[in-house]
Amino acid sequence: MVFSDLLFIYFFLPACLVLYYILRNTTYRNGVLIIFSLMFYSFGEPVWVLLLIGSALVDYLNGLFIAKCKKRRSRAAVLGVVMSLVINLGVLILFKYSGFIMENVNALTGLSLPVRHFTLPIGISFYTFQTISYTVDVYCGRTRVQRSFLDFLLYVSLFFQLVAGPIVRYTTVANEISRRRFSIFDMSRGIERFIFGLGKKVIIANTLGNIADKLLSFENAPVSAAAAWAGVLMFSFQIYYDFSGYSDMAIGLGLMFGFHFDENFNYPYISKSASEFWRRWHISLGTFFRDYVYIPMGGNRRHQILNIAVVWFLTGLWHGASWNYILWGLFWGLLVAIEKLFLRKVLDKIPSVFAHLYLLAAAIAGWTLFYFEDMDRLKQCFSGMFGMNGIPLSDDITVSLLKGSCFVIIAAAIFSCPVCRTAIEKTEALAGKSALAYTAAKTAENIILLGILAASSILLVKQSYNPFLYFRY
Amino acid sequence: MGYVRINLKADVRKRTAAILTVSLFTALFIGMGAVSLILERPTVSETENRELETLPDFSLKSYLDGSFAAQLDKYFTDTVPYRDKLTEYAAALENAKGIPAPQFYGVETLSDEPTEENPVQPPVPVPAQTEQTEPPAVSEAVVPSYTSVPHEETLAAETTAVSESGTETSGDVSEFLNNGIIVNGVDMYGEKAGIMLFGGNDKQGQRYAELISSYKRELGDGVNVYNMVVPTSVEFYLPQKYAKYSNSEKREIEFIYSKLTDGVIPVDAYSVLEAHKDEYIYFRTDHHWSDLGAYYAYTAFCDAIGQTPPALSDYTVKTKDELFVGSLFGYTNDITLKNNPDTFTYYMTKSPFSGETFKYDTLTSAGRNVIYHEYASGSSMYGMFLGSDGIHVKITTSAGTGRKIVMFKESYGNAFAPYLIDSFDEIYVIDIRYFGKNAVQYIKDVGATDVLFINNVFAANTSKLIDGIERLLISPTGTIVYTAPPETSSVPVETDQQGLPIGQISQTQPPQQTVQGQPLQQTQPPAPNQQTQQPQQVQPPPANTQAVQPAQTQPVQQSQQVQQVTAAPATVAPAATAPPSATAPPATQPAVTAPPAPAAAVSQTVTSPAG
Repeated sequence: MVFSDLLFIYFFLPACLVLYYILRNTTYRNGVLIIFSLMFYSFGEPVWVLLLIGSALVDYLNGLFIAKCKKRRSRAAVLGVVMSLVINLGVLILFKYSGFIMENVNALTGLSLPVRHFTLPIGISFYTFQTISYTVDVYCGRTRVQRSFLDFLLYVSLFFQLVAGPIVRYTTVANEISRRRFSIFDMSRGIERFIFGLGKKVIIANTLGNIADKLLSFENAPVSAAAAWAGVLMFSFQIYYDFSGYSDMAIGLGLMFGFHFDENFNYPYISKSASEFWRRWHISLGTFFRDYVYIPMGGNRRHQILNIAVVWFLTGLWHGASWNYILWGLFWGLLVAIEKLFLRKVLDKIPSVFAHLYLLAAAIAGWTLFYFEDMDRLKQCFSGMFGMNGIPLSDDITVSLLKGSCFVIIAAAIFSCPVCRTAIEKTEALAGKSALAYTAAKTAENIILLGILAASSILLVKQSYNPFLYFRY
Repeated sequence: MGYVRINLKADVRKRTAAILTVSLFTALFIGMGAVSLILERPTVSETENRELETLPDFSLKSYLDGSFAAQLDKYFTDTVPYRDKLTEYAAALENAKGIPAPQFYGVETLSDEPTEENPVQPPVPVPAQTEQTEPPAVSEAVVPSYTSVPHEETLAAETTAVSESGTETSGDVSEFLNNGIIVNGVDMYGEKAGIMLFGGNDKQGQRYAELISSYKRELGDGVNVYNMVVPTSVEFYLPQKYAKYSNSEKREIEFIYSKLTDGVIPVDAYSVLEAHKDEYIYFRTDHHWSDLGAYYAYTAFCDAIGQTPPALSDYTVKTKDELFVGSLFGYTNDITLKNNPDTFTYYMTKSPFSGETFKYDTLTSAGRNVIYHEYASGSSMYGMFLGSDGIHVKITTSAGTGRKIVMFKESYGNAFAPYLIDSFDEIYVIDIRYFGKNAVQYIKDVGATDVLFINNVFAANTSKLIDGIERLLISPTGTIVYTAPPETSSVPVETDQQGLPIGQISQTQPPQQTVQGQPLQQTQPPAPNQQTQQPQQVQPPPANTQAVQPAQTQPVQQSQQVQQVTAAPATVAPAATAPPSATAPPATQPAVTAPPAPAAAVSQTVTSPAG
């Protein structure tokens, strides 16, 4: 199941809310959340739900083991971390990368070993990272061990973030697992976030994604320059609205049930450098690699260039078992490294509009690498972008597609900037000034929310197929 | 103090606002959820012309493989209460996403013009040739070929549509080879229209022409074979700037006509339609032509058969009150089409006639013996003519020309057929996609003087339809058994043959039973076998029931020999033993008429050596 699904919005979510809030006791409420989470997951993965529970059990035991060793000041505690890493990464490699590895081994050695592609259990890239963060944090003493398996299972399986992130660290929610306070403000903000996220996904991401797919699905005929540029641009919007919309919904759901997750996106397209972009894009993944790979490897104190290369290789690889993702990761790594060497100083000095343009160009180039798993088509797209396909630069289909959805495209561009957040902040500031103005602003806000919810629901009746992009990871 | 008071006030306001927001939306989620469970869920979509998803049955297996959850999800979304209304709103929302612009649905730039480079599959006039490609052990020598239904799914869908909505569907857009649809960039008769783009090519066209030529070859000089390939709206109304998205139909029609041999007479519908292109001869929202377009094509046909058509004023002209939004809307859901509906005008002949309708599979009466289904409405208004494609129609007229015509068509032919009332004494309308019998045999059986193939150019380029033409040509069994029977078996076979044609079914009441009698007799001996067959008989068997005989790897003559040997005793037996019509109660009809192919095959192979 996905959040942008009528069955979720009008059946699963209300049922969960009602049962949750009927019960007053946190233990029972946690029980409700675990049951609904496992149901949510088993909806898409009826078999691999056992893998999820198994994975939780393994790291729960690893945590206990590490804590016990540490209490005795035994150095065997590190074994717990190693075990956690081996098992989690082993599972991840088996399901996600074994086919890719075998293919490359075959290509390199000329052998023809059997290549088996597993279907990827949903969310495996996210929850394995979450449980790794837990054992490492217990080992490093950043958090206390969780002694209740059910509480730990709740952390791992919580349906808000289970299938497509954000990667919530155990430390973030450790306290809220056993103690949550209901706040009407949280609830209200949660609903708001959820609906905004839904609109981002259904109204913007699906529309522009549809255009991108149409423009970039060239097979027999060469792609025109307009189609290539517009297609990649639409994809750049799509992937942002798709993924950040999902994160908004996850964070919103968390708030509805009393959990406070960290932000996962912070208007990445307004960045002025690659490093800034990655502090604003998929923040939970960036910080994960920073805290669990980059810094343990020595950060910027030892062989920084190597550390950067490894982190960005892994970032790319995490997104998919294909060379284009690795290329994409290394591309960003290269930009970050160059910025560290000298470009940062240049970017600081030039007028900021050029820095913005630099970042946008980098992002678009990056998403082009990201979109095409097939290297031939990637080449065709690039040569199309520079008008080297020997056909007219524009074509009717591109023009009419863009025209036909131009209001959504403009909205996508505007809402890539923090206008919404500013508007909400301004509205809240009105509360202390004028009752009338505040009431008016709040009413407007609710009407907008209603409109987004209604429009999204209606569009969903038509769109029977709308998976989230990040379900692939 | 003042500051604190303001803050307190602000806090109260914020709290009130939050409570309001929370109450509003939780009530909405929960209320809508409850309402969506209580309200009745639709089972069919009128606008989309399809059955909606159904609630899955829970089983451990379906749960574990994920199909239960997937189906539940589909069901919930697909059967939202007021679905048709909501999808209409969705279409309006889609439209509001930007400035109205030409919409391209599934359109691709056609990179190259159609070519003849690819060698064409030779048409197969001799049945023996294809028998080798058929799967073995399925023999139907005595099962009447009427009983097989080639496109079971489509037929099933249509039957449902009939029963649910009271009107009939009229063909499925996606059946035809197209290069997508343009909406909004094109005008027809002064209003915005949708146009389906033509993506056909010579490869299929050549096969089509060669197959029709082989019909003529099989039928000989006694029967005139006409071929009319009808252009569609794209040819006359597509703006020049979009020409690159559609191949030329004129070129393709000329190509097909140039490949006709053996004296097939081409009918030039193109010129007359082109001459009247300013008149309302096609629909803006549907992929069919209008009744007026069909009339002009009929005048072209009259030229070919040497008759003078009645003038338009000789017909009763009627126009539906209800506006028509057709298949192109169902296909694209483009609101522009909904906003520019068609007017549906039709021309009814004043000449007397009587119509009979039959089901293709059982050849039993289809119930309503009507030609003009004037109650047809909604998106299936084109079903006005002859009703559904899945119904086989015979029209008896008082034209007095002494000519009988068998017409092979897809849905374009539906509007055309009634015009023939003034030209032929008997008209047999056969949809290529649903008929299961050997067509040449059939034409001879009904004593037709003329045969017309009428197809729109998309259909004439669509491999599925062409496969149908080929299937009818080489089709069953019957041919071999009937045409070259050994002396002894000729009598029962003759009887059998008489039972088959439709014309006699309407005259003598129980001939189907004579026909059924044979499989019944055949299948009865292995009783358990038949038992197991029975439940499945509702579904027509797969295409291999067409198989004429066990596939042979031996030379052709030998395989024919074998068949005659196996078939002859089998056919003799039932006819000789008893009058089957007496023993076969009508109640068992459905079970019997569906071809229990494997059972028949088994029983036959078992009994033949014994006989």
